[in-house]
Amino acid sequence: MLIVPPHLGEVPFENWGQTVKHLPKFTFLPTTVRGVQNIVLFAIANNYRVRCAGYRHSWSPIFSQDNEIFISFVNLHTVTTLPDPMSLIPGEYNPATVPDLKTIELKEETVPGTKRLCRVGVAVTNEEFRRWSVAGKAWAFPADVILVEVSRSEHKLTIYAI
Amino acid sequence: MGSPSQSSLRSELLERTHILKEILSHVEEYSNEFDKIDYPSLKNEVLKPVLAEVFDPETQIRGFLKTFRHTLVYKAAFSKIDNQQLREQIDAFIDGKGAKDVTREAGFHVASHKSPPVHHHFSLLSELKKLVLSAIELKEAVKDVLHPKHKHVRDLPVVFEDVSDTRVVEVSADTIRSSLAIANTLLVL
Repeated sequence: MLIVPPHLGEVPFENWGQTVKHLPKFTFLPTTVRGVQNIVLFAIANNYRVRCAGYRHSWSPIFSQDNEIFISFVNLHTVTTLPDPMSLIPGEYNPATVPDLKTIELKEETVPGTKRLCRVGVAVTNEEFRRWSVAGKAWAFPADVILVEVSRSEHKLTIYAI
Repeated sequence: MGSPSQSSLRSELLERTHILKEILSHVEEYSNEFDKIDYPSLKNEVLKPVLAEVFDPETQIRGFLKTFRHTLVYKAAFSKIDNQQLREQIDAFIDGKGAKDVTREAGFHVASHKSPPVHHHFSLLSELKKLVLSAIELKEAVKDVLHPKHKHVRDLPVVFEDVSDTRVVEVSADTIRSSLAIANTLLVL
């Protein structure tokens, strides 16, 4: 039998700036939309609140809460390794192999040749989007931040903040 | 109405081309205070290619390294690299040798060097390597290990993330991690 010291089992939440700390009841790492839906159903059935985060890039306690459910869209080792070396590690964004929540799909053009809609997975990070954008040499966001440690969901909030 | 100083901050000026041109025009005004910076490299190899939209990562990185090559911070960091081969590779790259040529024979082994920040940053690679190796070894053994029939998994919620209810969402609890529960279950099996 493997004996697990209690402190090794704890998965505390800490934001990017290391100013907010929580201890969620459960930390889920889904890779599909259906997974997220089922987590929400589990939360409803068991009277939990659900909080979500990518790179946890906010100074406010918006991303997590003690004894509630926390969904992390970035794996736990990555979000606790700062700065993230991803921008230095060679690699490509491969839309054929990414999980459900990391997909990037171009949709119809609203202004031909200039603007179009794009469906971006909530777990797509800034670096992953940059790699996709550079590989395609065609489309990018009209506003962005020069920051690796942020996911698209948080990035949208950043734009609003600006 | 806005004053002249306010009008100089018009939003249409807060865009890349204008900002880069301003930097190009004024950056050397700092040369008295920061006299170790290689301003021609900064302007010609970093800024101007971006303006001309001829961005090449290798040129940019080489330009950045040349820009700061003679600063105390760069020299201090460079001296902490305890591998002569890597230092020579970096110098050769800065002097114009292509990245592929520099790494062709000896490779590029940053993760093996012990500079604390670099070692930590590249720990992700080590973790990924461990993860892949573990996954290969355990692939057959853990096919159904997360099924609630195993008593060590019962304390963790089982939430499926596919239509056929075969893949379980990875989950950690405040007292038990699922990965450790897997290890427990395997030992019991």
